[in-house]
Amino acid sequence: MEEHILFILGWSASALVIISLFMKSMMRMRWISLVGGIIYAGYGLLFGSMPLFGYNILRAIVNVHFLRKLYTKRDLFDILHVPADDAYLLCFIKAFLKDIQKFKPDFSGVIPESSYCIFALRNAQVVGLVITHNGLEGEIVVDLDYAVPQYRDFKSAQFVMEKYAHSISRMASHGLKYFTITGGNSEYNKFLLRIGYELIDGNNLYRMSVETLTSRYLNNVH
Amino acid sequence: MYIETIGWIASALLLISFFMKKMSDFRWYNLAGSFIYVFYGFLTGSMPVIVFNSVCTILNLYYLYYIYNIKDDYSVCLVDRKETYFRYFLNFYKKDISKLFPLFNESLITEKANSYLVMRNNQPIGIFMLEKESEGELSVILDYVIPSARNSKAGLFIHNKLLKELAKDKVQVVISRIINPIHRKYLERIGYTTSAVNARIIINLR
Repeated sequence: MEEHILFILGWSASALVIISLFMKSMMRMRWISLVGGIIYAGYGLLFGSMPLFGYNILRAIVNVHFLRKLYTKRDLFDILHVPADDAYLLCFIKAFLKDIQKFKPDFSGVIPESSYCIFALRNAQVVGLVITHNGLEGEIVVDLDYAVPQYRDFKSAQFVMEKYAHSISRMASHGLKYFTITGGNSEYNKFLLRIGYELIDGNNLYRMSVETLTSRYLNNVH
Repeated sequence: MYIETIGWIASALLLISFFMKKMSDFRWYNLAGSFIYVFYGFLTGSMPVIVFNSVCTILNLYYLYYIYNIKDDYSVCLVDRKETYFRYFLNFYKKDISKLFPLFNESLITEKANSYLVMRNNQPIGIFMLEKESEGELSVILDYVIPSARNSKAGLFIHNKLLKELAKDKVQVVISRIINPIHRKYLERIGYTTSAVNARIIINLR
């Protein structure tokens, strides 16, 4: 009987800790590793190995410590308006132009002076760039909505949209009604639909009203 | 009894590894710990310990290979001292900058100063700022790298490539405005000979 318990404890703990090493999310890695470590401590105790028991107890404590740190320390997301001739903006576009053109082949990299450029920042690192200009009355035309490869996920986009909605809501009182954006490749178009744009005609043109933007994203801003 | 000692040594190495800030240090300690644990597994006759630590050993070797063979791409972006993003970055790391360079303050960023954002894989990781002095000297005003990117690769790029390019034919660069012993030690660690005279650090570029 005891052999069976030893078998189950030893192998399940080993499997859990190894699985934890393959997790992309730091949080999930720590949790799984914590559970694996506690089971390993049980195995060590039953097996009669003090080093195995002691080590895994201490490691569980270390894991709890790091988990507490992860839950209390938040990344700082922010948006920053920069003028069209900002030197770092130009460096950024030059560096990522090839990647941008993959899904928006008509983007030349030249930014007209009248554009509004908005950086999305995570701990002062640029993770996204939105470039717009004023279109018809009540319309903002989005020339570019780009996220760097590591942050091309829905959760980051949501974060940026929430921040963005906050500053847009003030512009709504000045007569702003909707945003228009030209689609790109199919992956990009799917993304546009997911964040709230609607296809308005056959010319690959997408639109989102200010109401949609604020109702989808504004309530979540703290 | 000596079996237990081996187990404790392995445990200690693994525990130490968790407190390493540098990824490569973490991997080295973890490799040593899991490798010794494999022996401990044999000596005590525990199959799970043997298999588990063998897998960890292999994973650590794989990651170490990856760490030492990855090529980071360093570059610079010349910015204007008043520019929005540059100011945001400077302000974001204000506390850390003043901790490392207590003598640095914003009044040093004059019109004559050249400011560079130092980039790794196209993301800014630091600021390098310098100014031409009257007698053909270059004066470094700020030499800052953010904590997560502070390694010898970043330092070597700034100094061996950027600074030598900017200094061109000069053999000496002077740091007078932000002189401090921590920075001097760092300069010596990445391979410079320095001397401090009259509250100035002189870097010999060779």
